[in-house]
Amino acid sequence: MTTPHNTIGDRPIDPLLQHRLDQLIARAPLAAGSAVSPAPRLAGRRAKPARAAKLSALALSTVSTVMLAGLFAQHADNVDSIGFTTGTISDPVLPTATTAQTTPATVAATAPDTLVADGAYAGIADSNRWGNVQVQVVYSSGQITDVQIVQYPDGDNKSVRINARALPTLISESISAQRADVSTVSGATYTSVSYRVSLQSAIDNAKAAMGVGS
Amino acid sequence: MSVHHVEHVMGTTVSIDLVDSHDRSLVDELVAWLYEVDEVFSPYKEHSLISRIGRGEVAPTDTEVPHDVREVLQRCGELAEATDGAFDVWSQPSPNGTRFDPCGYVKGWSVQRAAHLVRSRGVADFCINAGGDVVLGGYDHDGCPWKVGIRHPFDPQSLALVLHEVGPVAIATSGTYERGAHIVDPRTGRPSTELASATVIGPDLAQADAFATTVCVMGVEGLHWLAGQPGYSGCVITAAGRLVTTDSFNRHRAA
Amino acid sequence: MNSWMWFLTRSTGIVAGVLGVASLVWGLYFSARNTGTRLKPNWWLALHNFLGGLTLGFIALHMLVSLLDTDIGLRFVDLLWPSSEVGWAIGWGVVAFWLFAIVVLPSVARIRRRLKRKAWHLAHLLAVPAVVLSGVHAYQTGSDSLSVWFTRGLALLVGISIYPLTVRLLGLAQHRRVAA
Repeated sequence: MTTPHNTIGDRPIDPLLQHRLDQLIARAPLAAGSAVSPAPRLAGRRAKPARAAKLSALALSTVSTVMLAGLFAQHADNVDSIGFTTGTISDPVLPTATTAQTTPATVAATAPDTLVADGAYAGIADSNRWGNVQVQVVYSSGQITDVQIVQYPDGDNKSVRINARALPTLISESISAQRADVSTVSGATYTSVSYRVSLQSAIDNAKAAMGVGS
Repeated sequence: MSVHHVEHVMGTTVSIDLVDSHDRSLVDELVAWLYEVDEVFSPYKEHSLISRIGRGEVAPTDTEVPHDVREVLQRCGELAEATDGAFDVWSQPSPNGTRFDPCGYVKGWSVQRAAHLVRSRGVADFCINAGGDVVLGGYDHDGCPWKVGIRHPFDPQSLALVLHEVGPVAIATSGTYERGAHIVDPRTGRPSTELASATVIGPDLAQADAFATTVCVMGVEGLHWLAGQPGYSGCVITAAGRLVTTDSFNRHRAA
Repeated sequence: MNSWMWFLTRSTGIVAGVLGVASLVWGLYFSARNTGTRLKPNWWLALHNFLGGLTLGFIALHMLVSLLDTDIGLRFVDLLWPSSEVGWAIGWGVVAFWLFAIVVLPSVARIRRRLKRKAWHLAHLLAVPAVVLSGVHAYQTGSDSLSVWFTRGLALLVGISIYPLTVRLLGLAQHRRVAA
């Protein structure tokens, strides 16, 4: 073992460092099977290194967490809500869309069994903690061909990506009744008139055609 | 060895599907019952008992009021209390000009009664769908759990969800997409538009029907209220297309 | 109550992110040969260890609080494994969590003694992808990603990490050239 000297290269060694080096050298080298002698405990401040720094890091983290949460809470209260646009989905009001096409609503002669005239309609806006979201639904030949999200949540709201996942998820995953092969459909009460073009009537007709009694 | 029948009554269309029976007379009995209910309870009929009660010509406690009607009115009163006024048949604008319209309860109640009748005749597997409110018994034609679709609020030709159900169970859906913003919050007098639809599953269609209406009135908060009703679970679809469910509801969903 | 869980999810996430960057930077400065003598004072290492543990602690807290925010709709299994239902925005966070765990836990004295230095060092290097992935997670899921303060703060944290990382890598390259 070389005797320790007071420099590493050209630089003098920190006395604390020197002390540590002395301790290391003083320890017997480890051999297989020999017990590890515990390092001599340092006394005083050095026994708990960086104690102050650790405590302040912990305190700072905890305080920041709480304060940030409070900041978000306060900011959330200040977000203006846009209120609800009442009206049914056949309301031909076109929103000021920042995205894609807004085909003008055509109220031309529609086939007797088309419920909704072709065009883009404003879905009802939703204003809650998820933000201000307005959906635009495009009908073509009585079918929904596109759903556009006209107004994304902004500012202090859940992420566009999580929300965007929530919105298109429902629409794009709309299940084809034929593929699902359901026996019956639960929905808001249809009248005898709207029954004619409903899914339920298609199912009933299919059952009748199959000769299931009646 | 099954019977399927469609009848236009009560202002809507009722589809009856008896799987393990070909008893046409049972179907006739059910249809007759529904017409009877319509005669008594329809707010569209000026001379119906309900219209007369709504106009104040008859008091609910009069002797001429049949037991069934009194039972319905009593249940409606209890529901108004249980929902803190969110479900209140006395504050609904009614087609007959009065403010009394128990339709939100009656349709489900009448179909639930029909289901009792069916079961009392020994038929275990059946499906009755009255305008979108469904009551199920046993299994479907293939011996599997019934597959029930929940209509997509924005696309009339597709489904938002599929549920797998073994009877006896009732499914009721309330929504704004058929008749527009017709669901009025009795507490404020204003239409409720936060939700596009609300679906409730439970043992009794009358309750489920009333609960679905209640949840539509209350909005997403209504789902929290529903979660507190033992035996009932449900889901809502918000006007923006977001699906929110109670925990136990997910057990009903198809994989 | 739910809103508070949401606020806390965000704030614990932010603090965990800052702590993660701090531990990384601290560690990089410790090991970088170019920033002076390799042997740093005892307290530097102690603080680095502490920050590492604190980071993991706040990440765990962040994950648990996010469970309590029922609006997000996470299940416990979503915290352990990225799932297509929940999406990669959260999935990256889960991966980052596991990477951090692999970085911090083997450094606990008892476990470290059993490991060969090389193995431990390799595991420890995962700290870099861990911090990167948590940045991606923060950007993708953070509702705050839409606010200017957040994006600037995130950029700042990235910058703070890149400097010592570059110094370390350059030092490595230089060291290799010298040794060769």
